Amino acid sequence: MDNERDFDLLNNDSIFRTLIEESPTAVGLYVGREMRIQLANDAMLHIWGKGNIIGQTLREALPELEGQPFHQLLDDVYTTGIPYQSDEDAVDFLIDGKLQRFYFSFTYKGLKNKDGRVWAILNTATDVTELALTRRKLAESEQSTRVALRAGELGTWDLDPINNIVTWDEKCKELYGFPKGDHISYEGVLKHMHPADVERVNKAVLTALDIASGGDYRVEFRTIGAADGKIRWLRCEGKAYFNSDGIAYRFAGTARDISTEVNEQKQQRRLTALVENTDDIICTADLDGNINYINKAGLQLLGIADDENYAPLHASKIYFPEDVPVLEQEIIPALMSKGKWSGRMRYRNLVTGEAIPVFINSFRIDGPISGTPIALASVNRDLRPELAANNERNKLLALIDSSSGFVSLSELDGTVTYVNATGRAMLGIDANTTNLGHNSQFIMPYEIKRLKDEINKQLLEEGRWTGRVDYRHFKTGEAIPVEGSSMLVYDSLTGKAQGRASIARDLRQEIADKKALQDSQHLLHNITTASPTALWMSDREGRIIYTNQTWLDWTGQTNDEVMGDGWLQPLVAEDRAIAAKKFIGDLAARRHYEVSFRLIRKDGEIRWCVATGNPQYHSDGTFAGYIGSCTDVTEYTLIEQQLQERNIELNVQVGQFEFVNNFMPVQLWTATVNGDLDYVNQRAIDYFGNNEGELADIWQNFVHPDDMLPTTKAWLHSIQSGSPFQVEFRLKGSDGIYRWHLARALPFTRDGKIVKWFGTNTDIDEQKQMQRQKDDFLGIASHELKTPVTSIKAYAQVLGAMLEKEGEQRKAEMVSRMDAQVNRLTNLIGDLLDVTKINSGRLQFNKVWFDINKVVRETMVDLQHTTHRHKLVEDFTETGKIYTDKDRIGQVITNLITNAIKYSPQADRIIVSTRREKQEIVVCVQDFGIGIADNKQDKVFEQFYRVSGSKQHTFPGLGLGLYISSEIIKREGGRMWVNSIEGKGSTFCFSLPVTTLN
Amino acid sequence: MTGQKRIMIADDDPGIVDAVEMLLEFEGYAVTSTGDGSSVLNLSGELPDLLLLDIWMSGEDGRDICRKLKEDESKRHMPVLMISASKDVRESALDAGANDFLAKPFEMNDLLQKIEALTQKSA
Repeated sequence: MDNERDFDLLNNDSIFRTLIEESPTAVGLYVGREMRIQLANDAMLHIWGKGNIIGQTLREALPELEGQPFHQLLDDVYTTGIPYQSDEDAVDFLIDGKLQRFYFSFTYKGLKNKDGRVWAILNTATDVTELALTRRKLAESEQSTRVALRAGELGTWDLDPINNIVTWDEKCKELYGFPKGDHISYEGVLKHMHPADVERVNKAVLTALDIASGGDYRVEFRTIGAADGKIRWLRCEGKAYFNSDGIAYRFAGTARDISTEVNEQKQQRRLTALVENTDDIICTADLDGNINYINKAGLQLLGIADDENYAPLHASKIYFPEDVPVLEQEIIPALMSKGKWSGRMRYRNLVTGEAIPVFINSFRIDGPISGTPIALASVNRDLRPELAANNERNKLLALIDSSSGFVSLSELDGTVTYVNATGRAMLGIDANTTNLGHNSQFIMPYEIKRLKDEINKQLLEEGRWTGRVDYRHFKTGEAIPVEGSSMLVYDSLTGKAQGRASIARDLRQEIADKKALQDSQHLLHNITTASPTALWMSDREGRIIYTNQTWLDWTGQTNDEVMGDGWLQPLVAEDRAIAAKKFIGDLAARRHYEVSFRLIRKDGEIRWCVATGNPQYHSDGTFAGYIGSCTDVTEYTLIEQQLQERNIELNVQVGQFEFVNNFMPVQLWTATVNGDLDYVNQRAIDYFGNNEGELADIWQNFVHPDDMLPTTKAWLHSIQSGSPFQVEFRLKGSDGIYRWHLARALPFTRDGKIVKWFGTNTDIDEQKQMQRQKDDFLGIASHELKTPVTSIKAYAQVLGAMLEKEGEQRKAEMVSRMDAQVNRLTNLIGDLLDVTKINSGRLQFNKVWFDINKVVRETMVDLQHTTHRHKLVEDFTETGKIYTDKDRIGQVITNLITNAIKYSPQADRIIVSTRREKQEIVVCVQDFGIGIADNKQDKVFEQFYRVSGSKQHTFPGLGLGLYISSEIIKREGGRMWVNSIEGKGSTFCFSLPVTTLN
Repeated sequence: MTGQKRIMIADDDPGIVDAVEMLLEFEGYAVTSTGDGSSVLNLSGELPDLLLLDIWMSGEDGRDICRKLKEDESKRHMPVLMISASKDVRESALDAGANDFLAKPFEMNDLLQKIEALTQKSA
């Protein structure tokens, strides 16, 4: 509760205000960025020396602060919130119209609101002006003491040799390095002397104390500071005073620190040694060019012995004669006017006359006080090693330039200074481009971040970076992938990084090759994976080293499990040994491997497989192993099995009907899909004779040799196409007599596949005989008919001739008409005979070469006599000769023209045309008669067909003419056709192939 | 004219023999005939100027008889005109040595032309 009350008190504004007002420490509170004075206690107002300025801004109240840092400091605290604290800062205030300097230790502290933002600054300040001024005065007095001490470089010393008492002043003690206020004996002095100098100093002292010496003392030695351990060079000078006995009673003098002097001398000596021993050639000359100093290197270069007295030697003598004009006209005038000259010149070895390239840095030496020229000097560098190195460098550069890889050099900041020819070609940089730009321009934009964050970083940390990066073609902008290395290049002398070098290899071809390889591997992989056959490879010991995915898919084995002899594992146990043994045997003999086995698939299914493989050889002929495949033949095997089963089944079924089969009046047989007979019924066995061996091949053993070829041909065709088999042939019976048979066979199918052939042989020998007898009868009949007709014709013609002779014209005419009717009869008999011949295949041809136009014309002339109404019109083109039966073709033309006449009773002309079309001769006969209906046009060429209709039946004839004609043309290798429009007329045409003369 | 030309007809059909004989005699030829084809092989003395030989005779083939005639030195020069009801035997008739061939039934003019041609040659 008490605390709470205290807190309330503290919160009481007036208590605070009072506290602050009375505080000896100056306190001010400035609100806002404008620094409005909210509060300033008396102490603060006193400091400022102003009246009541509460409510004004600091700038208004204290204009003299402009130009001093306080406004800025306040603003910084206000904006950043970071307090500022000062110690004895100077402040200038305008007091009584005068700007006076005060010193304050003060703080600026930002007061923050809840948001953490400064809303006011609390300023406390303590006036430390007095303290500061006192401190400054003290420092000034110390400084002046030090100046005095430094000015009085001499220390004094006084020795009473008799009582061995030394009196030192403070300076002396300082020089010797003794702490102030120490009493020191002479031995003490010796104690702090450099051991190397003790003996010499002792000797000098003893000498000085000897009256014979006159008492003068001067020695230089080193002391080692007792307190600071510093080595100082001292020069002591003094004098000994002697009494009447010649004994020194006082020995006194001064000591001076000559360390600087001694060091300077040492420096001088070192410089001289340096000049003398440097590799550079240094020489000096007077203003006239007479050389007065040459260092060792120079002497050696010029071929002057160390001890040789070369003076006087004019500068022009040491230059190569051709370069002397440069010395006289350029170097010396430059030295006199500008004070220095540098450049390349050639010295001349005075002994050998050899020209030595040097780089000359020459300058004029002016007097230190007068400032007027007093001498000339030059420092020269022998350029020979450099030039030699340059040569090496040039060779190296040429090598780099013609290197097949990309090489570039750049500054540390990435500015590229060099790109070799290959690099320029790779990135499309013109050969004459000198401004190569920054290395970030050499890479694709997306690589720039990597350059900064990764490449540059690693390069600077480890001095080297290697990796893949995409370069950018300057002209096309195309990305060029490279394998690059960048390294820092160090200065050989300083060891500091001087630049960076990059080499890079164009990866495009490599990547393309790699991709092509990957593609082709991918393709191969796809092919082998997609293969429905398992593929495998073995090494020369027969261990499997490869299998495709198919095998793994079948067996569920992993790739590793198949390797070696693991492939045997998924085989059915009893097949394993066989497959392995066969493979080992074939491997040893290096021969084709083939084996069947059952494979247990991963789903437990057993499949039949056939594995094959062939030995492979390296290009040098050594055996490499096997490459092979493994095919699942289960389907095939199953089909085979099913087929076999089905066959047996069918044979059983056929067997069940054996009784019926055997008394059937036909030979019954079945054959396999390959055409082999596998069953014949008893009737067949009885016919051929019971001979098992011969029955297997009925065709070969029993078909008449003349029928063999067409039979075999038809049977093969049916087996291959599945079309029904039908053929007539003669079969030899067990009695050795051939009888005609009609064989027919049909395929028996199951599920669209042919399983078996069922065939019959029917004895048609009797029908054949009957047919022959009919043909023979017709032949004989027509022959027998012709004989009386011939007689009638002869009688009629003789009678006609007789009557004509007797002048009985009317009677003769009648006999002539009788003869014409006999001719009609003859033609009818001829047609019957021809049909008989056609049906029995005995139509004969007598082929000769003849001109078809001539035959057509002759026929037309003959037939023109038979009609008065029609005019037969020729429309011929050249056809050439043809090789065929002239009489038969004449018969055809006659048939067509007589038909045309017959079926166009109302028309008055018939056009007969011939033409040659490629390898055919076409003859057409066009009439303008009754025509033929579309649906009957095909039938006119049929045997015994007669045009029917309301009028047509009135036309005479047996209906054999067109049939005979078309059969003749067919048998001569030609075609016959008709174009007709009913009521308008018909055009009958035939074509015959032209065989060439030879 | 050096007398009548003599024609011999060998045919087994009496109708043909009679008709052709009449026809040829009407045309002025001297005609002899035989129904037995093989009898012509036994001809002796003066041979006819032409032999009309039928091919298809009962029990005999005119072509065989012709072949034998042509093999016989003494009869070879006698022209043989073969006749047949079938046009198809023309080739075989000529092969057998016939001097010409004529198919039945024939036009009288065709027969006379052929006979004229064949007898002119031999005369």
